[in-house]
Amino acid sequence: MWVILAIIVGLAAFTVVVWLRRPKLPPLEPGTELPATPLQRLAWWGLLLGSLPGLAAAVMVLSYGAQRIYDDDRLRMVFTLLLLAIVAVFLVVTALLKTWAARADAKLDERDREILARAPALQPAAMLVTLAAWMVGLIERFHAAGAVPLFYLYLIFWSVWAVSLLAFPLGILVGYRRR
Amino acid sequence: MPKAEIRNQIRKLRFEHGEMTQQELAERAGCSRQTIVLLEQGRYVPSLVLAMRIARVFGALVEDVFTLEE
Repeated sequence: MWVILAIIVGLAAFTVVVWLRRPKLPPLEPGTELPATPLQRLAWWGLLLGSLPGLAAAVMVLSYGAQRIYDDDRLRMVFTLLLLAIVAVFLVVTALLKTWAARADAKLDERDREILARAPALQPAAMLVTLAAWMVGLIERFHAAGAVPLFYLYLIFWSVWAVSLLAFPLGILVGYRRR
Repeated sequence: MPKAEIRNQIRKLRFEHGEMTQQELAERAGCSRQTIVLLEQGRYVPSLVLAMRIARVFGALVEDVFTLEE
C-alpha cells in the first residue's frame, strides 16, 4: 500500500513540477475574444457526446452493482452498448478529422495540426491513472478475500479503453490551452 | 545562445490595408482567426510557410512583417 501511495505522490509531484515549468506565454490583452477553431469545437462535442454514455455506464455500475450487470444478460448488453457508443463517437471524430486533414482549405491550420499531433500524448497517462485507480481500489476492496471476481477484468478493460478514447479530445483541448 | 523573440506588424499592416479584418486575413493566409489573434498578441510564432503567406497577403517581405529581437 505504501508503495502505491509513494507512486501516486511521486506522479502528482512530477505533474506539479511540469506544470510550474511550462513555457510562460504573454497574457491575452484584456477584452480579447478568442474564437474557437473547428477542431476545438469538434473536440468539445467529442468529449461531451463521448462522456454521456460513459457517465450512463458509470451510473449503471453504481446503481445495479458490477456483479448484477455481469450476471444479467440484458443489463450487460445495455452496458456494453453504452461503452460501444463511446467507441462510435471516437470513430466519427476520427473520420471527420481525416476528412478535414485531407482538405486543402483552412479547416485545420498548422497550429491545429500541431495540437492534433500532440493530443494522443495524454492517452497513455490517462490509461495509467485509470489502471492505478483500479489497482488501489481492488486491493483495498478484496485484500481480505485474496482474490478479485472475474467480472472486474471486463470492467477494467472497458473503463481503460473508454478513458483512453475520451483522453484524445481532452488532449486536443489541453493543447489549445497550452499553446 | 541569447533569447530571441519574434515581433510582428500584423495589426498595423491590417489597418494600413483597408482595415482588413482578422477573419479576412485568416482566410487569405490559410489559417484560423484564433491563430491570427494569437500571432498579433505575440503568443504564437508561425512557421516560415505561414509567415510567408501572411507577408504575401500584405504584398510585403517577411522581414517587413516579422522581426527578430534578441
